[in-house]
Amino acid sequence: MENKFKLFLAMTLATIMAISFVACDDDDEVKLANLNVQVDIADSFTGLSAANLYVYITNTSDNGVDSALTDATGLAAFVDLAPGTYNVSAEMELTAEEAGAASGYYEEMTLVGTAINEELLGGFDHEVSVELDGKPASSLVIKELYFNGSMVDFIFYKSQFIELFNNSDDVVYADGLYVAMLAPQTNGSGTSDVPTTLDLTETVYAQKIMRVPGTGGDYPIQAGETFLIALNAVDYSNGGASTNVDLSGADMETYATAWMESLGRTGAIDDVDNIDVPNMECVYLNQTYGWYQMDPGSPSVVIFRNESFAIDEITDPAADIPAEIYKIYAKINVEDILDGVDIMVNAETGNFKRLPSNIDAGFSYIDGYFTNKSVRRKEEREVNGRKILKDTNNSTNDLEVIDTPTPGGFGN
Amino acid sequence: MFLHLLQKINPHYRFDRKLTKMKSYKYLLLFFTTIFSITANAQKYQFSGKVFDAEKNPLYYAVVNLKGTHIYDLTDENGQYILEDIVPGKYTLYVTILGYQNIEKEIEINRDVVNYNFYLEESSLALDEVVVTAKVGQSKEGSTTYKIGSDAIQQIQPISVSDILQLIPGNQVGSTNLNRVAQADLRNAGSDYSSLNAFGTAVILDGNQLSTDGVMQSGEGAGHSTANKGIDLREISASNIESVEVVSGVPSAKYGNVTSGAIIINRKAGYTPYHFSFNSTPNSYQFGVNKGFKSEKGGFLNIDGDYTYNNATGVSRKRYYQRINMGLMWTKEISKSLEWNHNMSVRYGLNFDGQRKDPDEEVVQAKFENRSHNIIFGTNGSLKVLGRTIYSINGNYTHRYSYKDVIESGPTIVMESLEEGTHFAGYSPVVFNRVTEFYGEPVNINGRLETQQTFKTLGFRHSTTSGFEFSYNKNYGKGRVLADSTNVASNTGGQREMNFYNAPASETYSFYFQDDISLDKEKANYLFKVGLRYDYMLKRYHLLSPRVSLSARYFEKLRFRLAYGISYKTPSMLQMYPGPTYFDVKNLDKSYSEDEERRVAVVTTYIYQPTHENIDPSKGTTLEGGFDIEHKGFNLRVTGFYKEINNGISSVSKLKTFDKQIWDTLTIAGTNALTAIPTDSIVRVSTTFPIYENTVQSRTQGIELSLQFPKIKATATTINFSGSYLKTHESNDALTIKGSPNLGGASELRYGVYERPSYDTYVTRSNLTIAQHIPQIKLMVTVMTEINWINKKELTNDPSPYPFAYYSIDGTYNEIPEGERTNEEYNDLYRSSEYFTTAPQPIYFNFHVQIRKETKQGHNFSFYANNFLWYNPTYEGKASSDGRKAIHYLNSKITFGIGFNFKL
Repeated sequence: MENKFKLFLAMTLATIMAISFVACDDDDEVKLANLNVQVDIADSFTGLSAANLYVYITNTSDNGVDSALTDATGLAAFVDLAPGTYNVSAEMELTAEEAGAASGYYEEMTLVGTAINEELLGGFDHEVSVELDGKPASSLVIKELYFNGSMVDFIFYKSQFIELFNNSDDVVYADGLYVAMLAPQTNGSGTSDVPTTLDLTETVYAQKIMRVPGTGGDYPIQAGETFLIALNAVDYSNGGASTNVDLSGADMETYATAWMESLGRTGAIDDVDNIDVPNMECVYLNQTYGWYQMDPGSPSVVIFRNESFAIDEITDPAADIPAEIYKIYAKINVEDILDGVDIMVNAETGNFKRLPSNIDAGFSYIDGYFTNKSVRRKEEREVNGRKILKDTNNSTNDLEVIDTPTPGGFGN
Repeated sequence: MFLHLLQKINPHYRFDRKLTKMKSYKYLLLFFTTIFSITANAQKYQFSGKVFDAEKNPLYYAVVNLKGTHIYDLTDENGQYILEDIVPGKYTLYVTILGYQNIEKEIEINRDVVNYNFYLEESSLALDEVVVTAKVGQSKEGSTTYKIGSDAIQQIQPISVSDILQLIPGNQVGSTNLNRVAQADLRNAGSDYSSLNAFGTAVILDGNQLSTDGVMQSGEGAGHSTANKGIDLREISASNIESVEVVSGVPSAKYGNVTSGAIIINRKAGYTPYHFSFNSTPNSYQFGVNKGFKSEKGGFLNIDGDYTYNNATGVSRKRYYQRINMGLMWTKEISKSLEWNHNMSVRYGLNFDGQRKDPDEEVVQAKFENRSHNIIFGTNGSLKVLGRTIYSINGNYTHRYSYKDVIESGPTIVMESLEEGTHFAGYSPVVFNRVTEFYGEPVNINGRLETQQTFKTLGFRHSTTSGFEFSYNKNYGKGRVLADSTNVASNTGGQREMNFYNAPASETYSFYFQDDISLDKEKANYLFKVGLRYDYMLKRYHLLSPRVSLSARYFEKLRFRLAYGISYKTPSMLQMYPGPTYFDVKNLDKSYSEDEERRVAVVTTYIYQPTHENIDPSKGTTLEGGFDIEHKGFNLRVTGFYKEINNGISSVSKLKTFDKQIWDTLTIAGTNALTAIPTDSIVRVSTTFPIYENTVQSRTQGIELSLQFPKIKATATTINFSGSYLKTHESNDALTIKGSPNLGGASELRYGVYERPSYDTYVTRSNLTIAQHIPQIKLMVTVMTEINWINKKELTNDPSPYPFAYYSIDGTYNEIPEGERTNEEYNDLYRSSEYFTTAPQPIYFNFHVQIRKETKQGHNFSFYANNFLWYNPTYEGKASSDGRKAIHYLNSKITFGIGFNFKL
């Protein structure tokens, strides 16, 4: 029996070799790949069909996009693809009624599913499955992340900001909202960076957390309005460079020095406390010296609410000996997250993602550091003069890279 | 015996058992001086003759010397020399003159000899004997010395003295990057304190001991400072050097202020034709010219000039280095009867480190410049008075300016107070320049007066040296100047203004005595050197350094050697008199506003002036032993040594805690403007800062081997194998004070107090040099195979990764009971020492080739290629904390250079 099996193996091998020799003769032809994407829908949504959905594939090296429609069984077929690495995504938009029927939440939502870094080899057929999942779209979204910084006047990251947006048609209060920068601090930018080995389905991990102060009615954000959280509420265009941002009108600024010193630590020299702008409350900052600066290459940011939030720490198991920096993180429940965007260093670092796909199925990136570019959520439509921003929980589709930051608005 | 002798000399001498150490030093000195009085009147002989060149023309000013004695003479216009007062015995006769090949001859003198003539051949690759490797041996300078002659120097095309040191066994050949300080690192494998090792290496240029003791510039741009470091060897041009002698063993008693050997550099003095040299590598070029004139009235004037330009790498012109060296040296015999030879020299050196805008850069954020003008005046001579008397006095003056201009972005609190107390401060604009300038003017004056005698007593031949030496170091510079007074407040310690000229001078007065006693038997020769040096350092240390060595040679084939010596190095002036450290505490948080009337900043400045008067000199101890075998053209030399540097000075972290009184803002009535008032609330803030202490020990043991194979006569090939095994144990007694390494995001920082780990570093390297000489076409090709056997750093004393105490935020010190240290509550303070070790390197090779061709007219053309096989092995580094390993390259990239040397 075993001998027969070996014989079979040998024959198979011989056949494959023979075929490949034949194939090799034909050296003018570039071998292409085929891909079948099976789209399924998460169990928490019932009665939905995966038929007639667009599946998008993006080549990670040239960012070329291709799409195909699923058939009745949810299968989308791509033929004759150039070999390479692709990110696969599919989404399904649900109206409030459709969502309610399928999940019980009567709120507009988008189900998203992705597969990252699928390697397609020439001359082979590949199967990839994608599960569509989602949660109710948030009324508060991250409108813009300006993390990349500016070289002009050597401001670097001092003018970073996080800007929120009320995407609903009703006033929302920012009071008690948590803003967190996720761990690890950098990803894929250094040779020693590794994707976190922690499971990212129910919990994500933060290295810095802050909170909007207030008792519930202090910081209203009107429908269609922004809420600007500046690292320093300073007019950086004062140095003479108009490309640098004026953050003196920020709604909130971060200031960690006093809090750090109360814990025996040291704040950053660059951390300025503007008396005219309220400060975010410091909650968590896993540095001995530091402030709420974002990584200028790849920060991932979430906003979340949890009235009973308490710090629960974990040591990154990837570190077998405790190293000197940033290895202890605080847990955040995925279900508390209102919105989150994953920012990677570049198109190839998708496996460093810090967020599960039901929060952010994709990611965004800016090439280079201190380019003054910013990442902003796209405009979906306008209703009675109120902008509604695109929120499909997929940063690849929802965010765009803009050449200059636009704090407080959309730059027009 | 000793005491009896003293009583004989001084009948009033009272035997006192409670002699203080100091007193016993005095008596010891007395003992040595009395030796002179018991000189026996042994029979003495004369030895004379003439020195000619190959065409039988007399050579003027050739040195004829009996090695190991002070007996020497310079030939007159007729080539005549006369050596006098020779006690009978076996000697090595050494004849040398610039531009000619030396002659070394073993000779026995037991009667008067006349007409002993020498014929010297002009140095050329056409000669049979050309030595292109360092010649290891022992000399009057020390127990293990490497002598590098002009042929070896020419073969490697050095640009500076640091390039020449690659000829020392165990040293690696590197690429020429003159954009960083190049220090000697003799007999050291350790990586953590190599500057400390280099700081203890004396560099002696034409009898002038150079010094970095007075350099106080430490915070200058791009790490070009030589404060607390060894002499920057890249500043010494190699183009006019006749020979370099490196003492790695026990230096003779004449050398002080040293813990780690000496480098003795001799420039050309005497008649030479014009030499023009040009060397070029992908990132540097060098022009040199030198000439020795013979004046009408006798005597020589040597001039030299050298210009060198270097970029840090061949591909970027951003950082560059320029060097100008110029020198004048005048040598003259002042009195024939007194054999008084006098030498005076003046040297000027310019060293410039700078940077320019890279075409790829849009704006340059930081600019720096280091410029030093260095003037050396030296005079020395010898005359036949009291045996032979040697005098020298040298002055070194350097004007070193460094400049750093950094564009910074604000707004940030500007704090310029030089006084302690709480001050109102302002904010910087969004963009501002921070300019720091240093003006350093280190001055070193050193002098020496020495007498040398040779005599024979009880069958022993003595050759004694006794001398007095002084050294004066002071810095007359303005020091550190902050232009525009823009210093940014922070509560980490920073240095502000500092005047160098306020630091008192550092002076050392020394006496030394050395007796080289030799005994020649039928089949054995013994040489026993006993030396003692007394240093009075810093007006408070009486330091005694004995240096002894014994060498016994049997059948002219086998030699055993043993040497032991102690030496001391004075602390640098920066270590003794560091400037004050300023700490600024921000009292008010809510202090910025776009409205200038509402801007208000309050800062408290604390000043700490470290007092380092208790810093002791560091102490070096060397013990070495070995044997040499000479047989049938094989020449094997093996030396084992143990070298210890104790009381090494390092910067040590201390913790300081300050009161931070919280201030609050107050609106000025009737306006929008703000002012500030203190509140009752006070918090404590802590910070670590460095001070200097004598805490480092470095212990190196090693074996050095050199094996010269017999020359293959048929093909004129010489093969030389040399290598060294080094193990350095470095430890530092200072405690480590470090903030919690594993800090939770909302936890309090505390400072753990840890014992320091110590490390062993192992380095084993060897070189196989094959020199192919073709005298017929005046060509010399050397191929060097560098084998790197071992390079690793291991943790030897691994203290607990948990601290034994900690400081809490308010600065209180808490011991942790032994049993509780590993408790979970101290997890934040866990700090692994394993983290600082390195992965061992695998065995790897590197290959270098050097070719020199001489033309009929005596011009030289040379070419070298380092790593000419373009062999770039890699190895995996130690796993980082996340388990991944970086790849390191072991050999530097291929580099090559060409050189021309024209003789007119």
